[in-house]
Amino acid sequence: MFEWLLGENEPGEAGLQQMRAEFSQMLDDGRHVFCTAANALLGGTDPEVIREELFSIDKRINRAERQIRRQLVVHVSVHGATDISPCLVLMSVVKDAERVGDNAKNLFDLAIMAPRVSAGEHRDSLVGLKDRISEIMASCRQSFDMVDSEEATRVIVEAKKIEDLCDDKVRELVQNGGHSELAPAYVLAYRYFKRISAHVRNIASSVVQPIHKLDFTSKITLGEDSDQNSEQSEQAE
Amino acid sequence: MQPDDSSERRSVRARLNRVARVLLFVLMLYLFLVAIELFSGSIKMAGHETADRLFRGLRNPFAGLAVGILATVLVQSSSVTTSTIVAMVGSGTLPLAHAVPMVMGANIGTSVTNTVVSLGHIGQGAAFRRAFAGATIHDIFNLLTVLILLPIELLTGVLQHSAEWLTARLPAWGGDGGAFKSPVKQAVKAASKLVVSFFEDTLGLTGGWLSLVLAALAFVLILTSLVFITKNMRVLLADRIEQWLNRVLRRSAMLGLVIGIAMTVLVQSSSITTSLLVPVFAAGVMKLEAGFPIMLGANIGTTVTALIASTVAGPAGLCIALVHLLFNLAGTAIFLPIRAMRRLPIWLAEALALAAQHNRIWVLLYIFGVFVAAPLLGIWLWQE
Repeated sequence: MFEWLLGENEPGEAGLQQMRAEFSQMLDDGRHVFCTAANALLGGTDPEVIREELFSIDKRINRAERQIRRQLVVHVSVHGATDISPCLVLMSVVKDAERVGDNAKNLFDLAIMAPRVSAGEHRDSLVGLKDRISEIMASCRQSFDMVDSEEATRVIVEAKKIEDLCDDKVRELVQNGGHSELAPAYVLAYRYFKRISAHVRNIASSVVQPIHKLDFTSKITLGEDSDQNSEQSEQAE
Repeated sequence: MQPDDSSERRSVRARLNRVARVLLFVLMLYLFLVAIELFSGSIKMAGHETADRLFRGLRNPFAGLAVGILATVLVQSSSVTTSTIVAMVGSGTLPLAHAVPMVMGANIGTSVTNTVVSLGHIGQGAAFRRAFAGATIHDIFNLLTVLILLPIELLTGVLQHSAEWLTARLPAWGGDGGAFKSPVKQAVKAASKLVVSFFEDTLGLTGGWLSLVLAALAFVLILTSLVFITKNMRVLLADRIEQWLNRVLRRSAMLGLVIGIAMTVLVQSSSITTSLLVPVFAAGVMKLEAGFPIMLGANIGTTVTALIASTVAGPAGLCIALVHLLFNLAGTAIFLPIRAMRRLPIWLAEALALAAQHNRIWVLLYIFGVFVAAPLLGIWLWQE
């Protein structure tokens, strides 16, 4: 009763909701720039046509990151430490969302430097990966908005498969001597795809993992609930 | 996934919570007004001779300034100090002219709160420098305003005369006369009479003891009611305050001033408004130039508490409350509109913070100098 009279421990829902909405927009923008840049690399779009739009959205992602960080400081100043966990989570995941935008720009730069990737032997493999990454980005956004740990776990597992596949492709290209003059371009493409998938996985981990284990997902598997996944992680340590 | 009825239950609970807090605010506001009425009455009961003995030293304006500073530093609230001053002036026992330096002192004393908050960042290098600058700019502004306006007031009485002119045009506000008898004032007087009657008739206290006990009780009630008002309103308005601060982060001076006034009027505490800004300054999210108008707004907004107290303190109480308001409005008019004047407290705060970052002795020198040495020096120089 006394706590209530003194206004202790009252969370700041409205501010957090606002920041989460802005973060969701970041995820949508990130998916958009990724798909746009990948289309430019893999032959769907002329890079010069989408250049301005892509850079403009990337700037918007960067601005949103700075805006959310500022709002987090104001939120903690006004509400105190009651919401410290969601605030720290947001501080971490905005970085991952911003990195998605950066890696998408790298894909765009690659499309300019190596236009013949769109006609090369790895095109189909890359297109397949692009579709899978786009799908997990959409699922990640949904799982974050709805705090759906089952969906987030599916995103994490799928992301790990994508990253493993990218590693396999890179290993194959490196170990087979890279006879194709496009080999460096393919390696970079798989690398950027892997990085984007990893950042999406990190964001999904914020739904499943306790805060001190953000980004640590090696023990997370499908078919078990999030509590068991966390326990397994604890025991592994 | 959350079921819909659970979120609906949360929404109903949130609404009930808000209603309960509004009712608590109304109750605490009533208690505050009763406490002011009680305090004023208890001082009157002490008699003019006792009051004269108590307040004789305050003929020295620097003594009044020092009392205002010290009282506010001790209770950590300029609202408590100024409300108490309003009650004393309203009772007729503290002359208006002696109270003017006291309200100026209350302005200075209140900024010790955010200075203390900034010390939490000591050891964090640039973050401490930013936090300390953000805290001391409030104080530096108040000091500069007193340096300019106190001599002018002592020479001309311009603030007092202006307040008296305004008071004469607001008879229904703080006056006992007039056809309109405020129902709020009647309800406050009724509660106050009940309390006095309890101590007098039931407990058998009389004379000086009755006066002392009532004064002490009233002071505790002023402090308690303001604490609950400010904490309650802070919770009630936290989301709105957060929105306003986000809006003002990199915007115009006028918006900052308006938001500073609004926040402080609603939360009834300039210390809360200014202390909220310290971590924001520390993080570098807000620049001093953007935060300074909010501080000025907080100074103006905090005068509302004394104005509220004056509704039950008579014309004299209203007059000193208006002096407080005019003092802060004048300070804002001097330092906000012209860029060169606006830069002065900012530059001083930044210079002091830079020195404090490199050598912490400056923190001690500043606190001791402003809150102890300067008032004592003034008292000594002004001795009759």
